Amino acid sequence: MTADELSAAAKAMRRDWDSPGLWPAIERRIREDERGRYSWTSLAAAAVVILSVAASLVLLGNRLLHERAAPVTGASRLLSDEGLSDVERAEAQYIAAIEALAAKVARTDDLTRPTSLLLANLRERLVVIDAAIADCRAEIERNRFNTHLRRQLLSIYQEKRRTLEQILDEEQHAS
Amino acid sequence: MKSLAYNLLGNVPDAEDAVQEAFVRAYRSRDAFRQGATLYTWVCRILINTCYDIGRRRGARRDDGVLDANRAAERPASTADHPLRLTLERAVRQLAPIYREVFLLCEVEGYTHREVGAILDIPEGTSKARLFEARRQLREVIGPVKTIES
Repeated sequence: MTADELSAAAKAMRRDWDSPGLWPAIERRIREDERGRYSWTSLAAAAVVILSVAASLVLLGNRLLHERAAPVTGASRLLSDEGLSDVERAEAQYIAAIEALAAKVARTDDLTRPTSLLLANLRERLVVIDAAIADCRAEIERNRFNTHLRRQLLSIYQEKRRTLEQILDEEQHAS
Repeated sequence: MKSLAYNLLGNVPDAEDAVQEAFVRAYRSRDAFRQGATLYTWVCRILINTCYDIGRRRGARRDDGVLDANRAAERPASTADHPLRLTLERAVRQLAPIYREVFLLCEVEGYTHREVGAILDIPEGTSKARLFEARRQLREVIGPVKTIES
């Protein structure tokens, strides 16, 4: 058998037939495959999100429980005992200075003399500031180691000092 | 592609299943398709591997490469008949896979050695050498048969 005869016989091995259902079947399989893949992907993504949220909630819950259960110790407080007494001493001096200023303002307040609108506003503001100071002090009494409240009180006292100075200026200007 | 699958598997349903499976596999692994490669050779390579997979799964269906009576009825028409076609088909099934696939791609499907090299991921020279060996083995098998048939 020659190479040509072999090649000629080999060509006859080539087959051809109609397969009308083949391409639609391929298309259907690919679509099913895609749908399956997307649904699995979505499911996996949803599972990851749910697990993350659940893990975060568990961690947060544990932390809150731990914080609630643990007693306030010196190390965990914002202020130590020694630091607190220093702060309270400095505060007392500052407040005493401001109260002295307030007393001076009270002495100059002449109820018989008509007051200017600005002075009336400043005195009104002083009343509001004193109320804010009282509230803040009450909060501090409940939590003496809270530095945030102490900082807030200090800023209110600074505002009171500024207001008192303005009142004194206005009084002097009026007289 | 159907013709190649048919000659590798020996029947129409398996050949069509293989083509279908090959396209689905190619679609699934489309990210692995290398730019610069020919899409057809890439899909053809997937088809050949799919045919081997299907052949392994359904191997018990055939007896030494001879189609059973039911499957023989599913033979599609040949594009150009030849008196030695049946003999050659049997002989080709007896070849080792590395020779059979080169023979089918070159002689039956008409691919060049360069294309066969790309499909099978072998050098062009290896394709030529395998085709030479395939022809030699086929002549050895067909020679005496031909004498008997004639």
